[in-house]
Amino acid sequence: MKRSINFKQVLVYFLAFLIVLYVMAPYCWLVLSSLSTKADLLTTPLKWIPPHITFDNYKAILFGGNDSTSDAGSQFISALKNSFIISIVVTALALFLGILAAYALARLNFRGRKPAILTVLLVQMIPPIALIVPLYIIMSKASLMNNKYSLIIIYLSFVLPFVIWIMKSYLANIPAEIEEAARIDGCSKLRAFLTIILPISLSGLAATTIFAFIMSWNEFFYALNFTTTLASKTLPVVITEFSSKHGADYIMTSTGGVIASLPPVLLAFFFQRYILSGLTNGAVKG
Amino acid sequence: MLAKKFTLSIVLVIFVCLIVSGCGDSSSSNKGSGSSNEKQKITVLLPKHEMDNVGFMEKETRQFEKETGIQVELINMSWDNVADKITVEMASNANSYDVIELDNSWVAKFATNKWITPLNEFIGSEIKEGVLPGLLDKFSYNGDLYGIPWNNDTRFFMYNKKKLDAAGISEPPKTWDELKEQSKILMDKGLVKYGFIDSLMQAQSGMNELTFMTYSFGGNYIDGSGQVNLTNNAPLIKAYEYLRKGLNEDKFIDPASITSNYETVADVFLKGDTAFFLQAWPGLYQTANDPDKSKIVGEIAVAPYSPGVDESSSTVLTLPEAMAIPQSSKNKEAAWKYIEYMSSKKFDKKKAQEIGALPIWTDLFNDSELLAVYPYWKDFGKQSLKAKGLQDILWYDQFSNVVQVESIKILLGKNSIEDGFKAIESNVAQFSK
Amino acid sequence: MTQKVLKRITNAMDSDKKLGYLLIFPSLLVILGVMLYPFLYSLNMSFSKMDFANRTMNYIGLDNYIRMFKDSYFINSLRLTGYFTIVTVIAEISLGIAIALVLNQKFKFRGFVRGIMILPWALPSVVNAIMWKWIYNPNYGALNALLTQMHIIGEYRDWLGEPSSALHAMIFANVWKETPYVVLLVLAALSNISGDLYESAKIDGANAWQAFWKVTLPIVKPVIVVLAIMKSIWAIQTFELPYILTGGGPGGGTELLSFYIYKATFKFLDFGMGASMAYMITLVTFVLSLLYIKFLSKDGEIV
Repeated sequence: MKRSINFKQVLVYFLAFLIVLYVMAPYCWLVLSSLSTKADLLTTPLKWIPPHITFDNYKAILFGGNDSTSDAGSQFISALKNSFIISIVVTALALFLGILAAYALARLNFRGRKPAILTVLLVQMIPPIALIVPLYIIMSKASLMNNKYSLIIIYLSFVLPFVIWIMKSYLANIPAEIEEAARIDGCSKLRAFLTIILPISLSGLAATTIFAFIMSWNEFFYALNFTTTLASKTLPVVITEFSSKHGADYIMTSTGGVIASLPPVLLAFFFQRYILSGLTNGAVKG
Repeated sequence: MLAKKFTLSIVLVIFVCLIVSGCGDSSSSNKGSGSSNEKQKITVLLPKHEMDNVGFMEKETRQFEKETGIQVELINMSWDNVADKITVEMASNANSYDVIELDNSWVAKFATNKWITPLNEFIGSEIKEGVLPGLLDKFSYNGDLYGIPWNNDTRFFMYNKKKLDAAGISEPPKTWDELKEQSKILMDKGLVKYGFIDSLMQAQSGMNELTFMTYSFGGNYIDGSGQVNLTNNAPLIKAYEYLRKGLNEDKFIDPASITSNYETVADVFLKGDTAFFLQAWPGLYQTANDPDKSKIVGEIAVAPYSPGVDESSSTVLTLPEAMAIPQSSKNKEAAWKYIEYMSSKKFDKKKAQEIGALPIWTDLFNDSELLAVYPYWKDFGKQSLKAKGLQDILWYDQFSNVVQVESIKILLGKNSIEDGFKAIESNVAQFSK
Repeated sequence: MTQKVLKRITNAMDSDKKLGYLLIFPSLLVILGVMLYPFLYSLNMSFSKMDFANRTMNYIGLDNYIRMFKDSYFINSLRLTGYFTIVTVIAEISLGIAIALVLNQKFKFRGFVRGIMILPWALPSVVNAIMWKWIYNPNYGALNALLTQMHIIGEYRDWLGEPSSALHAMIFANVWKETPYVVLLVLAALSNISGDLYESAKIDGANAWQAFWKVTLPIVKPVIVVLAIMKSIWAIQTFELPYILTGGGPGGGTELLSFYIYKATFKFLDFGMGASMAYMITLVTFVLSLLYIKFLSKDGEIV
């Protein structure tokens, strides 16, 4: 009996090790590539631990920009800035509008509530490819192409439904008694919501914030089609251009990829408790 | 009371958002401008010049800014990305760009749809008389000139002379059969991994290479009457057989060709893994002699001719690119100034000196200063007599896509040549009417 | 005057109906403002042909839809997308359950191992595609290096150089990124199973395998159904992988639907057929969405 337990333990550790390898190895290789010199990376047989660790690639991509508009360094920095601005603004607006709507859909009884919920759910499923050309035509007619604000509005259209959906499921889980108690004290509905309900759903708020940020940060398709200029291009677009424009420059691409992945990955890693609750709430409980 | 608070908080949030987004915008729009007087700004969308490893176009664009006070945003992307951006931009009548790439295969389509501005009123006699007539011709349609060439992109056959010498081969191959034999010898002696690698990746570069192969086997996808006629087209069948056998049976063509683009092909050649470069851009000669980028310094040579089935079918590809002004541009005058600057003879010579690009001005080919730096241009001269361009047809993009997709199926052996050709014909039939 | 308005707003705020409308209005305005008009516009486009020279849209009835089904490349991408979707979803879910079962055991560093599961999920899909493209590189890629050094393959291969291997390489890249999401959700569902259930199963004489089928699976089943539907919806819309990894090649072997629609519209300027194909995708996703809603709503109520 005891031996079989030991065997089981060993098996679990072995499998866990394989899982860690499977999940981490590809990303670690990306990170190692970004810390290598080109000469080391292109040797065969390949050395798995680069003999010369260097941060020059990061220096080049982050501080190598000059006053030009087409070199990799300046492209990257401006894209980094654009990505941050767009993601933060979208997150802020989506949270503000979304929480109010979520409250209404979760707590208030009014005609049209159900169709509204359905709308919120269904619009998340519309493939962007079905909207892209009309949006393109409208935006070019209105001279809104290559503009951060247009991108912000478009991103809102899919981040907002998601925020509403998740927040609604959080709010629905809070017992109605808590709100009623506040109401007896003479609070108006909205006030009870803002001062009592919202503070106790902070974990939901945190999850939603992170989701909204990651969604807008990682978005590629709209950005690809709507932005070409320095003032509007986001990080995902710029790093794909590295891989085509600089053709064989695997190092620059890896470096850009690592930097672009850091904000979402770090956020997700440090706030994973919230994300877990968000995932289960948003996806499964509805 | 509450309502007041509520509205106040809305105002506050909006305000905060505006501040956040506001600073972002001002920081990016301030970039480069600095002074407050009104400056004209143009946006230029061009693919990166394949030989420009030193930021030459960028540097010259800044110089142009200094001299004229016109601000320029130069956007560089890969050719295929630029192509996607520009076609949809033109089709939807947007006005994001003032100067755009005009590829030699787009002229008919862009001109018939009135997407670009005829340049007749802008150009002076100097350009008309001084620029290579073949180039101007390529960018004219129904008597109007639509683009000024900025990249005289003609390709040449280069080879690794040192490796050929080491194998005891005295002369570079003149025919495709010789190329195969020499590759085999080089491979048997362990001098190279493969004879050559081609960029056949599913993209425009793949189409270019296939077009080159068909030309140099004496064939063409499109017959004299503008029809795609491939059945029993002997030269084409030979060209495809040659590639297919070379990739799968004789194995002297690197199988990675199927997914390679120009950069990969250059990488492999510069590493010394192959001996022949079928269609190298002129500047590759310099790159190959740059110890930072190449392991074959001093080893390569330009052949006096490019291989064909026989001498008469020897061909090199010319893929010139021009700058054009979209009809929708609101800064046509400034756009023209930029084009004029970037195509002037002075600029053209500097470009040749700094990045080894071929000139667009006829008499620069006899310029003693340039010939002193690029003595091998005289070999280019012999090859360029055989230069041929791509097809300029209205449905080129669809056609090119069909050929790319079906050809790879043939080359991988997924489809017989006969069936593959039938597939090309039937797929092309939908839109070639 | 202002007093009066404020008073009216304050009153309005306590009526469910008025407050409800007031609160959802801005959100719906943004969402429908961006989506509704383009959605209808492209429906119109799918029945029209664009005349670029004269900038007009001419109504041509069902022509685009008929043309679409005669287009062998569309049929090809439809087939590929179906295969891609089915294989990725099955692989993600079975692998996801397997990993979740391991991570549900007690062992040291379990928190850490569970923690890194979040990494592929958070990684931008663009970075994922770039990463795998580099790993699959025919000349310098890590996969080639690994397999040759382990003597599994004799010489370097071009993994993306053959339609079937390219498609499977793409499927693998997608499975790698999407599986952890399944793991996390299944783990959450597993944590709801009390040890008692297993105990009683054990008393009934069930072995581990039977316990999995009788106890575990029924409890995680609802989660799996919902995941399968959602994963299918996302898989059908996959764009980044063909765009970056393969460009749809070789020989159209990885030309997933989204990518082919993108090509038809942006490269060939066939706006009409692009729109009709996009409506095909939309139709399929809507059917799946209805299934999703059906599973979510208990007693006919979407909570």
